[in-house]
Amino acid sequence: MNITYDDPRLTAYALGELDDAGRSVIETEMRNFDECRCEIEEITSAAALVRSELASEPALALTPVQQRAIEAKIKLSGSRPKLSWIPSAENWGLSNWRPRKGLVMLNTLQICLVTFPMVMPEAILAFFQNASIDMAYALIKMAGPTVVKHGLELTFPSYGATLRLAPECSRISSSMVLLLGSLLLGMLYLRSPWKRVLLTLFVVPLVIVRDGFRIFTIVEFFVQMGAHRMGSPIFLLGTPIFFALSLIPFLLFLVWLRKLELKASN
Amino acid sequence: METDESRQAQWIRAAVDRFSGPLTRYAQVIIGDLDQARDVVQETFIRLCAEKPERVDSHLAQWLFTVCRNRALDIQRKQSRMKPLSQAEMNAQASPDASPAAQAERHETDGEVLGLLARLPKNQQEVVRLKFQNGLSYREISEVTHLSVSNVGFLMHTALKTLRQQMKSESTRRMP
Repeated sequence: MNITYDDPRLTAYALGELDDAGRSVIETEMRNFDECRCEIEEITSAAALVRSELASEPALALTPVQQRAIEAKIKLSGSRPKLSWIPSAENWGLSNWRPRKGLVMLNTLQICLVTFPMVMPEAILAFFQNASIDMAYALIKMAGPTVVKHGLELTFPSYGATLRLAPECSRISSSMVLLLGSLLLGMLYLRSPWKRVLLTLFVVPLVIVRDGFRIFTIVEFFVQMGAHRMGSPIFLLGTPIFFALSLIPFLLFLVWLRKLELKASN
Repeated sequence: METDESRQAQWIRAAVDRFSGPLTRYAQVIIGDLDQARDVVQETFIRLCAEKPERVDSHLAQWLFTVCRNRALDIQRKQSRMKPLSQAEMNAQASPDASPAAQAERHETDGEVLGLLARLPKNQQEVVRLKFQNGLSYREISEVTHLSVSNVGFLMHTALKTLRQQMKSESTRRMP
């Protein structure tokens, strides 16, 4: 006999747990050795006994209070709101729509969009410029080239060149689109006031990272391709590309906040 | 027309009807306390309410026993950290080295096989119950218990061998 009585495969065979190959090995043993057949019969009858004894155990049940709690949860999960990206009438402000109030809100947004970049305090502009150049400086240092930062200027001693951050490089217009977008999307898709505030605040680091990365990319072009390519169309295309890139984390953050809200409401 | 919500509700109710008893028994074996076992089962079904049927239905039994087991083990761990067992509780717990008188008494109150089963190590009891009481395969038991399939097979084999030997010795002892 190739299998000992103490082989777990005998139990597995008796309980129907062996694959075809394993079964054929055991069946060959059973045909050739009566001891093997007897052993499996004993295991099978012991298993049947255990199964019937366990089936005869008195049934346990949850208490009525627990059953009611589960039933309440089932009903609640049945009415669970789905993650929909079509804003509800309530979020559009249409459930109690008052034309005058709505028109005032739209006009206010338009006025903000047009006038805010013009009247933006210098301090805010300076903050974004300094933060962006700091971010770019850190990225350039990590990438390798020797660079010295002085105010809004980056000097590259190895290339004998100095780049100065122009005011228009802190893209206030695209940042304003992000800011107003965060206000509008927060109003449409989020219910909790603090999540709306969080979405709007998220625009600040996002703009800094985006502008810092944009400056870093320009410097990399300068280092890799030389100063003569600085006016090429790729630089002009940079603005919409980086704006589109900044929308990705912005929208992901919005989706995350909305999922959190749905989870909390569940 | 039946909506998704009502189908999901029916699916959860069917799961509660079918599995609440076996899960309570299973949790009780792990924790040793019926009330806490019921709480664990309630939590398990409440977690099921948050799942989508299409994600869980193909392996519902395995999912329920896994969640129930994890929660029961959490409670067991917390209890073992929070309070040492009193002497009375230690005496009440089934163990292989309980006194012969206590064992004999338990055999009279339980079915003979159930009494012998209660004397097996906990991990062997667990695989035996999952297999014979709840109809899980070796593979499903391995998923629930985080053991390998061969380890499950070994535990099952050892448990059945011990039970057979003890049943034989019991019947020999009772013969006049």
